[in-house]
Amino acid sequence: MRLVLAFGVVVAGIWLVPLFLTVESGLKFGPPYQALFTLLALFGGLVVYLLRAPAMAPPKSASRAMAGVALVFLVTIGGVVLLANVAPQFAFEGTGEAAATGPERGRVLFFDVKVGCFLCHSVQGSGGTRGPDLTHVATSAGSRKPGMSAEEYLRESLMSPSSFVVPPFDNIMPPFAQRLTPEQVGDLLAYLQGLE
Amino acid sequence: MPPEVSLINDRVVIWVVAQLHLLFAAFVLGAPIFIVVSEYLGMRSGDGRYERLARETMKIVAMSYSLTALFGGAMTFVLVAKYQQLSNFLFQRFYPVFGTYAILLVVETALMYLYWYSWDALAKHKGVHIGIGVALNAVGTVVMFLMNGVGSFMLTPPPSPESASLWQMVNNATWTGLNLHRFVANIAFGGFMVALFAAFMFLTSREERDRAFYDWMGYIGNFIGVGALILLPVAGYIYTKEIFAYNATISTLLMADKLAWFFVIQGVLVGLLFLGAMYYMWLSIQRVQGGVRFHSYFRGAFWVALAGFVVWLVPQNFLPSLTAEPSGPISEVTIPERVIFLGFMPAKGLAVSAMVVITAFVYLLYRQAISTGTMVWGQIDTKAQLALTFLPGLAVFTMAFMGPIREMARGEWHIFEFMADTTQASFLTPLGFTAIMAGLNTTLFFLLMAAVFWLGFKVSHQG
Ligand code: HEC
Repeated sequence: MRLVLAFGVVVAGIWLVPLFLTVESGLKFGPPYQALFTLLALFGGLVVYLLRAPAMAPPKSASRAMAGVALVFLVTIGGVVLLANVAPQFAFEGTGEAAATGPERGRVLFFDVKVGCFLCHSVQGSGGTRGPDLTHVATSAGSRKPGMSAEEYLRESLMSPSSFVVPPFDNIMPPFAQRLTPEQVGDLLAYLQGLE
Repeated sequence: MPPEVSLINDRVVIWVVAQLHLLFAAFVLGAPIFIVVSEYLGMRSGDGRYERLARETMKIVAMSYSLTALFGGAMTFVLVAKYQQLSNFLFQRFYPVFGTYAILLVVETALMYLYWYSWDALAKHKGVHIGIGVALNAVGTVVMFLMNGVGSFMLTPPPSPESASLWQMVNNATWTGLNLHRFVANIAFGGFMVALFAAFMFLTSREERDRAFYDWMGYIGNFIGVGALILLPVAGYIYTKEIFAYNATISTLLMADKLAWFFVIQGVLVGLLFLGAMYYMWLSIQRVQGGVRFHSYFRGAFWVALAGFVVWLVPQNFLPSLTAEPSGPISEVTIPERVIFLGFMPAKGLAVSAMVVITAFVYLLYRQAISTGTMVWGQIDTKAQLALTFLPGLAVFTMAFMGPIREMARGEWHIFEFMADTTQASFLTPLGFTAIMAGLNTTLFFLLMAAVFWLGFKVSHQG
């Protein structure tokens, strides 16, 4: 009885006191906090109750015992799962491809069959040999064409490869200006620029 | 699940098999540590109960061992079939580690069966038998450390993983932390599983003698579980420190962004474990003659623990992520200004420390009460046995819930900032869904364990 009374007072306090407080007081808890505190008060009440509860007789049969164990398990795990489901949730979002960063997406594109860079180029040993090895392309790109930065050069190599043909290779690389979206070009460049 | 991904996808499948593998592995690695200690204590003290505890627990370990291997095999299968890019890379780069692992696994299995089947044969040579047990533990621990090397590498790889040396990859930024944390957690886990087994046997035994024994066994299981549990926050602290030192993006994701609320739920779980353990001790002390004089201390301890629990759980806000838009006024879903300190680390640290210290205090009181009063084993409030099932249930769930947090800390990466997870079902799973998965895995594990207990101890005894 006293327990119920104490619980009532605490819960009333949780819900009534903020009515008299302004946000500016810096002490006014919003409704989700009030709900949480109410839950905690309920839990506190349960603990006090359990501390005083009379001893429980041994179960009459093994199946009853097992039912008791199963019940404790279900209430415990079910309770926690429920709590996790009423807590704030973010939405499922984005597959890995969308969520990865530029260089990483670029690397995936580089080794993608539909794009096909790796058919002619190799990076760290994997890929083809019809085009130059690109393992350290970011380092060499800056000095290929005088007055052209590494990024400009790499962009040009993708968009119009024939404007500079690396000896002794043939001029066989197709221009990718029409084949890739600007985002894909950006990702590929980000990847190439990391190959130092 | 997003509409384009089916409910039973590669991600969910690997999640279940990997989790079950890890839960059984935790048990078969953690339990033998105190099984050997218990056997040793039995030899030294001549108290037959220690020997029986060691033996019965080892029987469960032997039975669970094949389940561990089964799920380990299933996990490898799914990895190779569905996560080729990742498994190729890992198997190639860690080839010597996996090779050693395979050899040691054979050695461990041999030692395990040797230890178990030579129990009677070596009854006269206890020293030799215990020696085998110690070797079993040593090999088991190395096996775990090897796989922790691969697991921790995925979250905190050294710079340029393609060219790093094997040792740099294994001894990465969080290897030590993970080793320490898992080692302690396995002992806690094993202890609570022993408690569960003892409660199961206590509740289903008719014989007075058996009840007395299983009551005692539950007490020891809880004793081990709580002892390790008290150390666990320290190990967890070291581990998270290592993660945070490695990369600030990960710490933001964990502490301020999408996974922040996961840690509120983790607080609920760990808090309940501490409170549950205290409650068992409270019930257990009732039957000690002269235990009454400890009551007021216990009550006080509960109040301190509850206060710590409340402070631990007050969140900084009720927003699911750093960028989430609140639906109402922002002041309603964030912590009020004057008490903002309650949401920060120092307050949380203090709250956790208070709970740890108070549990340790109760633990010592309880030991004191038991050593000074007379204890009648076998006559205990049934609620205490139910508490002993509550604790393992929570402990397993906590593990099944924190594992995914560790996995998701990598964000969209298989190997952090090196190999992206480009599979279709790659995303952070929301809190509710994650908890449902953890609940599912916990239930599966319990059903399998109940089957092991039942087959090993009820069916075989009737025959
Ligand atoms: C059909 C074969 C082929 C394909 C496909 C191809 N390339 Fe090339 N690439 C070459 C050849 C040959 C050269 C050297 C001649 C030249 O510069 O045109 C070259 C040159 C380059 C260079 C300049 C290298 C240097 O060292 O200066 C870059 C950068 C480059 N390619 C990137 C790419 C990327 C990115 C892709 C995919 C989007 C790609 N290539 C697809 C054949 C290919």
